[in-house]
Amino acid sequence: MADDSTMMIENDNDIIEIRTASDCSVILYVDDTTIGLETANTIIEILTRTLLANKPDWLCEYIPSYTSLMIEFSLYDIDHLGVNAFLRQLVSDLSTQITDFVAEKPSAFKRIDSEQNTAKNHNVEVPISPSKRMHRIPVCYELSAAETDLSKIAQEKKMSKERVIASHSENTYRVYATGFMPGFAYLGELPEALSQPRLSKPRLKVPKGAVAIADRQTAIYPDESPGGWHIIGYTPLDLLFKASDKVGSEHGDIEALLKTGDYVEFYPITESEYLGWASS
Amino acid sequence: MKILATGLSARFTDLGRVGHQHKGFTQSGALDRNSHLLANSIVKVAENNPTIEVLLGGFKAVATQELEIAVTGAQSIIKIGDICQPLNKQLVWKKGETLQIMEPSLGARNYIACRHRFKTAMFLNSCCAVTREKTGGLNLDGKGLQIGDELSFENKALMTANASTSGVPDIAKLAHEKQINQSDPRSALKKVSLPTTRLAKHYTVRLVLGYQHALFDHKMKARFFNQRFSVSNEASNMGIRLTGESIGQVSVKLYSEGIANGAVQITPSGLPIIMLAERQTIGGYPKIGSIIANDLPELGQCRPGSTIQFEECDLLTARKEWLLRQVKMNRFRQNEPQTSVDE
Repeated sequence: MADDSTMMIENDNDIIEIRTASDCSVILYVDDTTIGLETANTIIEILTRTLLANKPDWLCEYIPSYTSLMIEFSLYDIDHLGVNAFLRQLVSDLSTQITDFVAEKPSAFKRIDSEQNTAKNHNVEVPISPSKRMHRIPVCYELSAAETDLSKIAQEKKMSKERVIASHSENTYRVYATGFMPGFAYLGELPEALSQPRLSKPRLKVPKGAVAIADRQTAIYPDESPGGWHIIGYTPLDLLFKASDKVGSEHGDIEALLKTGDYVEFYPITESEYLGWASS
Repeated sequence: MKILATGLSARFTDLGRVGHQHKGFTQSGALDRNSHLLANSIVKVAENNPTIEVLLGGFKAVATQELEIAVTGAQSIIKIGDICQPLNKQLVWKKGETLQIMEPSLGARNYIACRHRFKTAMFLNSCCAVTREKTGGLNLDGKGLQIGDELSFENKALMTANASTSGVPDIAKLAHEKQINQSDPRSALKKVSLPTTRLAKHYTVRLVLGYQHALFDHKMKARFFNQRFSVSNEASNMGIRLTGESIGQVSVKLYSEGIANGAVQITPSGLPIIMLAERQTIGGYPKIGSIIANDLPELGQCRPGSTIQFEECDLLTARKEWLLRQVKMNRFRQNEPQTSVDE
């Protein structure tokens, strides 16, 4: 048997590759070297949506991240050859759209009409274009009595605190991945001027709601957690919605506010606004 | 039942959560999945019923009603009252008696299944407590069982399809099966072995190459496959950090990506970390491949000082081994009423 751990997709761009992740999962990569991270991440988002629109019965888990999509399957229902064949078909059916998207034709993601569908004998259903879900998140950048690295960052970057705040809140961020802890979203890309490596010594406790930065990324801590990012503010918003939290409840589902592919903007609020928000 | 001592950790577990990793929720679930399934099979309840996962013994509880239980997993001394009890058998635990699980001489985790269904809180359709996330568990705060906790039971004892509804073995059916077995010259071949997790101080676990394995050259792979690594003190349901001779580094900056159950990360120090049921959902260390699903339960029985060697495995063998294990467990489940009547 040939090396089955890697399979290049026969695609005009050869930017999508499927590899083995484990005996019951594969990982699909989009090469971002020529197309850039945002485009690569958008292709991951489209692949994820298409996968979910077709929801094969062997699908157990899917984890989209920056430039990859991991897919876990049920060993009872299919083997890796079947999964690879399915994914190659899915990518090949999407290849025109992906090529157009890479060539920056925004119309490429309109829902393709049924006539075209039959003509090409598509095996997969192509979902509508990725909607831009935009979240506007209030941040109190100067909350007294709360731990912050704002002054330190301003000093190191030789900027005023106001300039740091403006720089962080004037940008629009994309959710490139979620993980690390439930509801934690990796937002990019942070302006180069604010970029700096993680703390050499991580904090044992980063408070809930802390807005923090590291490298070219920013994020919000959905709950108290150890963490190595620089804290620059706090949001009063809850990033997780609990459907139920009673003992004996049958089904306690929970949803994260920020999902991969969403967009986020921060806006400054005052301390009294923050406190009012938190108590309401 | 009332908890009198928990040891290092005792908590409810099951087969974990399915389909929530994209939101950042860990999979969780019994680390030795096989022993969890076996325990539930012995007491004839559904495979996803909650069991109590006890880490390195030190567990003590008193029954507040008569219970039928089974303990599986690590080689531990189990006592009800002052009487030693066998592993992997249905036990009757009378009201007022104390159940104790001592520190195992081999292996790390024991599983207690109960014929009456434990009343647990459910989070994402699982009873598992995840301390790091502060989710799941009896009070949905991520904590394991605490001394003084009083566990109650669902009124209805859940039955599997092949268990009789009254809880009493179906004598006619058993007699019939016995007769068949006695008259059939192949009956010896039909003997169903107990599908336990193999306990050892050293495990050879099989791995399929994957992820960034192409970045590891043949010398690094040789160092990876040709040594016995030791399990360090940093071993938990999240993962096992191994010590040994560094296999070397790959210089690559990766974007964080999904981590499979059993994925083997190589840290900047050139040593492996095996990611297990409670791993974080994404991470950015290079990975050489993943332990096959069939061999994961054995990792749940590793403890600091155990040794591990990796062996390469292809995907078809990996799937075949896993399916065979399920077949063995299912055969055992189907034959269980027959074996229990002899006691």
